[in-house]
Amino acid sequence: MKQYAMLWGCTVQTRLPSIEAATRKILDVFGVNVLDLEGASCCPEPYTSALIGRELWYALAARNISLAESRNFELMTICNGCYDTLFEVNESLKQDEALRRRINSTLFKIGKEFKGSSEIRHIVEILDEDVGLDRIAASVRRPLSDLRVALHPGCHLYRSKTVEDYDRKPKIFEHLVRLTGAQLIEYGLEKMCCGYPQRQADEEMSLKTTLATKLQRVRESRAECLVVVCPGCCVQFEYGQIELRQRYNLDFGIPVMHLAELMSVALGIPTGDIGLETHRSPVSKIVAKLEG
Amino acid sequence: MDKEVVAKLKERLKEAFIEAVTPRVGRLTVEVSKESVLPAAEILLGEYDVRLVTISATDLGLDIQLIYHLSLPRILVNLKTILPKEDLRIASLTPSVFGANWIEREIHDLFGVEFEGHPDPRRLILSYEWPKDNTPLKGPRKGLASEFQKPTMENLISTGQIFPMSLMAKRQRVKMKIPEVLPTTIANPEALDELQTVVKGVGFDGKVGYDWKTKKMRY
Repeated sequence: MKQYAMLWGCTVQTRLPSIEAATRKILDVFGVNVLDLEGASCCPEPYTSALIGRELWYALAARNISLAESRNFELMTICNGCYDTLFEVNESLKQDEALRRRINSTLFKIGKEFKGSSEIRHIVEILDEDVGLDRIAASVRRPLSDLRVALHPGCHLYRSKTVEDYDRKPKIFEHLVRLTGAQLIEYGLEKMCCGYPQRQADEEMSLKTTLATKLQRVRESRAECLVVVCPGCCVQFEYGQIELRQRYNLDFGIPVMHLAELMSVALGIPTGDIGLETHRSPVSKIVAKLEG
Repeated sequence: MDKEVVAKLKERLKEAFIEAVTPRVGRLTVEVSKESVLPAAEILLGEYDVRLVTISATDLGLDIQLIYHLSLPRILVNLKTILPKEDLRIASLTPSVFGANWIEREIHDLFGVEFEGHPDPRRLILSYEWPKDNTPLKGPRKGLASEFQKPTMENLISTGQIFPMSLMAKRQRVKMKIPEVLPTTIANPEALDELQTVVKGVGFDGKVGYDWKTKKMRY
């Protein structure tokens, strides 16, 4: 089994550690070794620095990639935002020699170099290609057949090298959720953005127009839980629900879980071990149902 | 001619000389620190036949840019400097070039720049009843980042991560039996130093208006 350097990302590390705990558990079950990337920084996030200072965005992402390259590891991420930044910078610097030279001239000053020898891998790709769907299906100890879930793949999961490949990762995500035994409920707005990036321009629009619209359809679909594969989206859905309740008196009460957490539960890992109670949405309702 | 002027200014001003560009034949733009505007002008006054054309001021959001347009034989030198809005003081050119007198008074009226050592700092174009703090062509201090983006940028530059590591998160992590803190820039001063070198190297700190002393934006 390959080894990977893991860029956990700021959101997971500081706001949603239960996703990290669950990911470590499931990767351990499947024998995937991950190395915490020593000296890594924010990816950096693709909304602010990429818009205000693209040169910094390239340079810091290239620095993170160079840390994995120097150890001959491929870089894994469990966050769509990190994936988007690292993927786009990796591909841009590989293809544009002048840009690579310019960014490397900055990195040389800190003793780093972007070589373009690493690939960026999202966890869904690793679970599909390295672990294998059959092995995952065989490892399910607690099928979640009583659980109705809605999916939110997130915009950046569609990032791909070719147009034909654009929905490969979202489909893997869907397969992985199916393997847990959960019932997938369609609500018609799966591809709609969670609204997180819109917050920079207009918080009210992000919450009332985008997030509330999506949550309303999830609620109408009678799904019991929303499953995401991006911590950024998870924060938007969880903290966004609190803000919608406090500011606009809109109460949805929809639990939100990351794919890694759902898989942990299906693999029979005790929910207490992965800190599901730390979520800001009512995930405890799901835990009570599954364990009751 | 432009190379000769640049060489003289570089040699005499040393670190205070920031950069020089020649946008076209007969034009030279030299950027210097605000403390060096007067010495630079005096170097040129002592070496060449100089006429002050005018001084222009522009509100850049966080700073006021002053350009001293100096006509030398066969070349126009634009002596440029940046004044942070937190401290709009600069030495007056009037004692050396009397033609700067009314121009500096006008800039003081409209932008609030304090020309220290000006021999006659009375109002020029605003009436005496005009409120003292109202400088019509100087806007509030503002930069590129929105209110929503500011904490993100401050955290990124000061810690390398966009969210702070709270005590509660640390406690939760320990309870989940995962490392209390990951070996990222938060826990690795050398890595943070690398990141901050990159931030400075690409000029991001100046672009977004980050203050290294307070670890906050200047606005």
